[in-house]
Amino acid sequence: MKNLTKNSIHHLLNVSTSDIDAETLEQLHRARNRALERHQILEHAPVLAWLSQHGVSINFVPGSFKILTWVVSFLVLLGLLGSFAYLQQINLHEHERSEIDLAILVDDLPVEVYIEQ
Amino acid sequence: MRRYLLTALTFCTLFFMFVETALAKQWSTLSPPQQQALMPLSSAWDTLSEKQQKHFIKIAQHFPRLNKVQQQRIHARLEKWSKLTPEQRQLARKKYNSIQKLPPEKREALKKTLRERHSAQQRNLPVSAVSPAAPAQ
Repeated sequence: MKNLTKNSIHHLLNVSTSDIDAETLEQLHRARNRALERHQILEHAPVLAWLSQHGVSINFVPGSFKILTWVVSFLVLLGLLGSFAYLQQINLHEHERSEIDLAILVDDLPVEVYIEQ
Repeated sequence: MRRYLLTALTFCTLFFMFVETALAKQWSTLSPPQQQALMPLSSAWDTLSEKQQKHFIKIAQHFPRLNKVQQQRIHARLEKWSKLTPEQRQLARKKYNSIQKLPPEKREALKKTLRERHSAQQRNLPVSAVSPAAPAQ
C-alpha cells in the first residue's frame, strides 16, 4: 500500500471502473449530476452557501435560482422606478406650490386679504 | 456581476437622494442673485427648515424676471409670508386659486371689493361701509 503512487492509484481506479456493474454506474452518474447541480447553485449564491455551512439547507429545483434572481431584480427595479415616480410627483407638487406662492407675493392684493377667513 | 451593478446603482441613487434632501443651505452659500431676492429673510434664513429654504430658493429663481413693482412687493411681503403657519399659507393658495377661476370681470370686481374692505380695515372703518364681496365660486 505504501508504494502506491499517484499514477498507480489513477490506473487502479480506471481498471476498477470496468468491474462496476451498470446499475452502480448509473447511480454514480446520477449522484455526480446532483452534486454538480448543487455546486452550481452554491457557486452563484454565497448567501445560500453560507446558510448551508451553518446547517440551514434550502433546496432549489434546478433553474429556480435563476428565476428568483430575475424576480428580485425586477422588484428592486420596480422599487427604484416607484421611488423615482414618487419624487417626481413631489417635485411637481412643490413646483406648482411655489408658482402659486410667487403669484400671491406679487399680486396687486395684499397677502392679508388671502388669509382672512 | 449584474447583482453588484444593481446594488451599486441602488446605493448611488439613495446617496444622491440623501444629499439632495438632507442638506440645508446656509445664507452665505446662496448665490448673489438668490441673496438679493431673499434679502428680507437674511436674518431668519438659518432658522428656516430645509424644506422652506428650498421652497424660497425656487421662488427666488423667478425674481430677476419680475418688474420693479413686483420685486418690491416680494421684498415687502416675503418675511410676513415666511412667518405664516402652513395652514394659513394653504388657505391663501386655496383662496387665490378660487379667485383665479372666476371670469375676468367677476374677478376684478371681487378684487376691488376685497381691496376696499382691506383698506377700510386698515383705517379701522366698519366693514359694512364697504360694498359686500361677491362670493367666490
